[in-house]
Amino acid sequence: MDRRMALKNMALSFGFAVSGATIISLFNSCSDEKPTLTSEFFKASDMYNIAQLVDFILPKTATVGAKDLNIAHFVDKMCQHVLDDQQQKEMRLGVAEFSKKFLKITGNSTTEGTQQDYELMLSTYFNVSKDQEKAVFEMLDSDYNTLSNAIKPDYHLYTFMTTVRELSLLGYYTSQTIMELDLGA
Amino acid sequence: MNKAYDAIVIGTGVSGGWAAKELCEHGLKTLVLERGRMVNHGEYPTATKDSWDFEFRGKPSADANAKQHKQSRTGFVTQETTAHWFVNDLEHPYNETKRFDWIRGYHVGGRSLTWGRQALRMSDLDFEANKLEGIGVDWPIRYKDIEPWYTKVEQFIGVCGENLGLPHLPDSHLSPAMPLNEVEKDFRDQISKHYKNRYLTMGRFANLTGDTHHTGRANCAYRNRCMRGCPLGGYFSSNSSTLPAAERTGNMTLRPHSIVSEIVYDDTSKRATGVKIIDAQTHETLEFSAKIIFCCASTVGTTSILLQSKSKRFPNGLGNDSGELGHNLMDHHFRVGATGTTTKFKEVPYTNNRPASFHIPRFRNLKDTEPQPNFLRGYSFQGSASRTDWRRAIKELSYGEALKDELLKPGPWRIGMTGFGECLPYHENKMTLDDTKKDQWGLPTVTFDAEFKENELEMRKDMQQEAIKMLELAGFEDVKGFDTALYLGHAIHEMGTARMGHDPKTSVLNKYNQIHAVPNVYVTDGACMTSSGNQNPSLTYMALTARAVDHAVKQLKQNLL
Ligand SMILES: Cc1cc2nc3c(=O)[nH]c(=O)nc-3n(C[C@H](O)[C@H](O)[C@H](O)COP(=O)(O)OP(=O)(O)OC[C@H]3O[C@@H](n4cnc5c(N)ncnc54)[C@H](O)[C@@H]3O)c2cc1C
Ligand code: SF4
Repeated sequence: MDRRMALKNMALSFGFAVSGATIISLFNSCSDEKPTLTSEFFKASDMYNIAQLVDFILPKTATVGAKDLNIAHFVDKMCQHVLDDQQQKEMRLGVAEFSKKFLKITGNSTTEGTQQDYELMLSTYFNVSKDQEKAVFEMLDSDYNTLSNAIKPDYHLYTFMTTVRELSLLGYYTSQTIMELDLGA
Repeated sequence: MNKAYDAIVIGTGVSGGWAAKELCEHGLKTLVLERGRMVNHGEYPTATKDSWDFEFRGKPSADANAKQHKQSRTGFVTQETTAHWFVNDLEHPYNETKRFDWIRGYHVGGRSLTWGRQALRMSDLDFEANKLEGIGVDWPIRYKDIEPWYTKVEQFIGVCGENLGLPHLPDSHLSPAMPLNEVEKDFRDQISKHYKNRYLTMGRFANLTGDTHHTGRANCAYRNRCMRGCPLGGYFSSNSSTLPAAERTGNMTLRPHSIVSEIVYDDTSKRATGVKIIDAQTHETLEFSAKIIFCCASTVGTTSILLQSKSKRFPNGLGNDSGELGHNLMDHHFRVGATGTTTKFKEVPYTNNRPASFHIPRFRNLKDTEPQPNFLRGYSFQGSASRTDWRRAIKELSYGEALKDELLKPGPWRIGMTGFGECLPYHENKMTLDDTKKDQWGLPTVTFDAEFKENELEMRKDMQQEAIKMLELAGFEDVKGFDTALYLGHAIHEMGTARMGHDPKTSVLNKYNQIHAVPNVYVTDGACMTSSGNQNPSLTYMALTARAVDHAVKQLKQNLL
């Protein structure tokens, strides 16, 4: 990644508060295969998995991708400061459930997972019919206490995955880089 | 310090700003008391920020939400962009026998900074309704009494829109309307085709268009960020308009951080002599005297002050001979209507920065329509059509290149509209003070006990049904009705707790907004409303305020106060 560009974006997504520590970790991340991003809410190992997910949700094409804009960091910050206690609890259960399913489906742990493994996870849970998609959001909108125990793991998994997805879209489409794109629209 | 003034105005919001301007322009030395902090025009901290300048992209943090747990019930005012204009609920608690959303800001300008700027006149259909139907008490005024004052207010604040010549939505003094977009124009044409007495028009908004000069203000530049405060003065607020006008006279003393706790009454002269305040910062108590007092602290604020002002003559609150003070609390009911989409009009150029919405004036229970079997009075609709943005994909599981590129383009058009329905005055809908629960200044806290009743609920059924029907007739797809949040206060149009009337036995104020038994105290904010109409009410508060000042000044000249 272009370091100057990355720094600039870092400064943007954090407003004014760019601490020395975050800048240094960012430099490190450029040389690392697996970026070790400092995080507030998620464990460092989970940050790796979020970075992968975000990158598949909004990949780099002719326009920048989520990775270029440090969206994983944004997701982490939002989870730490914007989600309430209950939502945070659900996110923690969700990320744990994600790791569990990841191992089951790919045979690898999330930190060892390859790009193909992540792609497989996403297509397993996101690449579904419109009806299934509707059912997922109905489940997420329903009262947790009325859900059967068999469904609860799915509830946590989808809470995590859809929250990461939604926060990624928010962070990406309201960023200066994207808002100032001249798309001729 | 404890100087005497000609006049005191309590509050600097929509109505207080008008009282201050009018009193000062008539040459009265006027003390304007505001409980909150100073906000000079232009001191709008978020006005020029972009989405990415907000740490959480506009969303309130969990900590911020906890401090505004009641304000956040609106779902929008506590966003990072505007949260500083609304109170901290932990510092300003109130009690709810029944849920009441008391949405407010304590600072110079009050809610004039954050209001939606929709400015509609009431008509005789509204002023005569209580009398004709035997509901509540009769308004002591009719449209002809307020008409010139509406015009005066509109000329000064600047209202844009379109006149339709409808008796129930009187023509106003308007500058050119903001444009409807193509989808809205099509909807307008469809409505005219299908209905005899329904019209879609651009809403009337207190945003400057046209070529009239307004001192210190510029025309609206279509940024749609009005709620943050407009550095251009493109919309009407006390801060951009009335307070600078009052200031220019040299007659105004504005004192922020001044919580009025009581109006002082003198039984010998049978007049109020002044007010007591608590300095919000030092907690010091001070007293100021004046010949006349204008209560403009907003409906609930003013009513609290009057209820707190107890004396031997008025053991239940100043001017409360009728026992109606605090009762007949009303608000509009809204968030009921419908949405729809269309795949047409994809090619028309589009921007979404217009700070205004369309309006469908009331069409139920008019003089010449069949009476509705299930409810009295009526409602209007406000809405808009716009192209959806990336948020259209929130409730999807899509991902990857196709999603990313798709969301860089504007999505299909979506239209939505909500009704604003009239609420009848019910004596039992009330606010009271709880002396056992005091705030940090030792003042009693407000308790709300009010609910919408059958007339409003029946009206809502019709509102949703008609919204769906109109959108379907107009050819929109995926039309869905909605009906949410049926709580008083939610429409932020609370009113009625010190109503005007002919009879001191059944009302608090007379036809000039004077307290019947204490004529040098005027109440001109929403507390004075005898019925609610369905129109957003602030224009009426402003017109009544200007009219009351005119009356007060004449009375003073004749030594009658
Ligand atoms: C988001 C939003 C959208 C709205 N949209 C519209 C709309 O489109 N059209 C419309 O007509 N209306 C709208 N309203 C309602 C409108 O804002 C109010 O009707 C209007 O502001 C009421 O004016 P007011 O002067 O009575 O009270 P406010 O504007 O609330 O001002 C009252 C002032 O009094 C001060 N005060 C209170 N108590 C005391 C005390 N004890 N001592 C000293 N000062 C005190 C307060 O701090 C405040 O500054 C909207 C409101 C909001 C919040
Ligand atoms: S839309 Fe107009 S009035 Fe509102 S903030 Fe922008 S320029 Fe000012």
